[in-house]
Amino acid sequence: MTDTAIEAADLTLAYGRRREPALRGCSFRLATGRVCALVGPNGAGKSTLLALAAGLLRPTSGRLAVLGTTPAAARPRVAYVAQDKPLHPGLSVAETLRLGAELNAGSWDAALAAQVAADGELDPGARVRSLSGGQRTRLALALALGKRAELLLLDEPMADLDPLARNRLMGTLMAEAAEHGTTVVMSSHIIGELADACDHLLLVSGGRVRLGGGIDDLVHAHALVTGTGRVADLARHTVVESRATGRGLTALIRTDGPVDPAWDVEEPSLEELLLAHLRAPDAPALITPGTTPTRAVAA
Amino acid sequence: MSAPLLSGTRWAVLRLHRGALWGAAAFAALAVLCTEVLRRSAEHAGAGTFLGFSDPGTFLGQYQEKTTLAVLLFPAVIGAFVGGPVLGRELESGIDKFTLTQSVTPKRWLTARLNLCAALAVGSALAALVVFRLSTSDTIGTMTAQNWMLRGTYESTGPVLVAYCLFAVGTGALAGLLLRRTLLAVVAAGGLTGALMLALGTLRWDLYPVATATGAATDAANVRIPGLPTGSFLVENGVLNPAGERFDDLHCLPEAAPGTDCPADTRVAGWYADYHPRSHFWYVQLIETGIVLALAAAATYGAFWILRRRTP
Repeated sequence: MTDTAIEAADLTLAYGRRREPALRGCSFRLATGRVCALVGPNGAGKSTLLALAAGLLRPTSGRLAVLGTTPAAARPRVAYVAQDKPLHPGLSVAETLRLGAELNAGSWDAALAAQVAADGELDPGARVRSLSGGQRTRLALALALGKRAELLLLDEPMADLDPLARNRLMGTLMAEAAEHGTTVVMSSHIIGELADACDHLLLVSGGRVRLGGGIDDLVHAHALVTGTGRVADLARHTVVESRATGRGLTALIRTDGPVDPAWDVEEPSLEELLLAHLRAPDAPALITPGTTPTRAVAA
Repeated sequence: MSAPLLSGTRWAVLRLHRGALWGAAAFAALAVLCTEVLRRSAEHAGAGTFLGFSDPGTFLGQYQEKTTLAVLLFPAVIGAFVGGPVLGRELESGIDKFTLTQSVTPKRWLTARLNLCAALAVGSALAALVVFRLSTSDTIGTMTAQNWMLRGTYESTGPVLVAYCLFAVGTGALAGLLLRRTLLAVVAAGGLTGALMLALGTLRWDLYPVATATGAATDAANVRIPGLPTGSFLVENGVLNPAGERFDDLHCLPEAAPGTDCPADTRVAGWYADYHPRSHFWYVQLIETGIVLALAAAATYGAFWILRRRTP
């Protein structure tokens, strides 16, 4: 057993020699048992990172360890749901679940998979091509949960669900993850969707991890300050983003020691934190100590 | 506890291609049935017209010629099936992202699929061979014996058919994995298989040395070839001058036609004929089978190499 779910060191992936790499020098560590939100703008490299961890792609350079081993060796212990929920359209729901059982004979939990499917009122005889987006997502999740994986990689799992279905499916997912101590990594570009469910965050942008760590730790490390001073007055802190407002200046800073009492200090919301970092791509990355790769992998 | 026959990847592959398998089986059964019915009724029909042909023999000759030519399409269809519906479609639609992240390794999954396709290809090729071999009695038998060297008859009565079908499976796998597009892979795999059959069809008679018959000219003005063994395939013939040099009497006598390569001495002293006797059928078949199987192995290796390079 290992206490590290995913560990990346200087991970780079380019889809072609002439194209910009989707990931460049991406480094982070994710401990087991976390429910991690993987956020970032479109094209940031979220899907690429998940596909690499799922053993679908080979990195161009750098190292990636999943559950203490290579992504290929970890394949039976990792479940992955791709963004477009790929399933064989000609199979029925029951046959799709049987396919999951036959291809994951070692660990398959038929009762759980059937339960997740039944909760969504999926007709076992219905063809996959006749399912709605939400039903399809539920079936894909039933397959992923039935595999009884230690690490669940979900690429925009809730994107095509209505709020009620999203809520129910997220509930199922979280209950299973909590019961079995499963590590979950979920990507999304909708920040609010993940804030409640996740305790960990990786913000990816431009092929790199910009913020990584426990959500609470990351929020506490920052402050939203408002005042009539100048940006230069905040020089001892790291100013992520500042802008003029009606009363003076509002800035999101990474605090280093107490802030001058002349400023109004607020704790930023997660959304404010993420937006500030996305708007300021040159701000230095912050990866909390538990989230930096260990020396063994980085070497 | 031994695993049941239909479980794991085997069940998965059979289920995913159930429709195609049933279709192929139905087509094969229908083809055999049609052939048998037509052959029997033709052989029991009396003299006179038969189904619009002047007599049953003509009908059977045409039927034999056309069906053996149809058999030539068979490997190309298998190649197109493996490249397109089996592999290309899965990669094009992104379903490989599901398949390749299950507990079964990508290599095992590809192996399972190619095993099924190879079994299907070899099975149906053998079935076609058995049908053509068993039916070599009566009229069709005489015709097969006479036409053994013809394109179609040659391929559908020997092991090269099995080899071509296996080559089609390997090429289909390679094309599907490389191109990742259903239509492109169908065209590439079918085309490559057809092209190989076409190329070897013209090269195959050079793969084994010909037998040569020679004799003295009995009548220099009218050189004829005396009877070669029954069913021989004449590759080339001509005449010899006293020095034993070969030349073409039609082009060099009475005087050399412009642009032809004739010896200085064009007196006809004898004749020669290069030919393949009936017994060469098996030598050529086995050599060609070996070549095609080697190419099939190379294509299959290439497919696995691409898979290994692409997925960790």
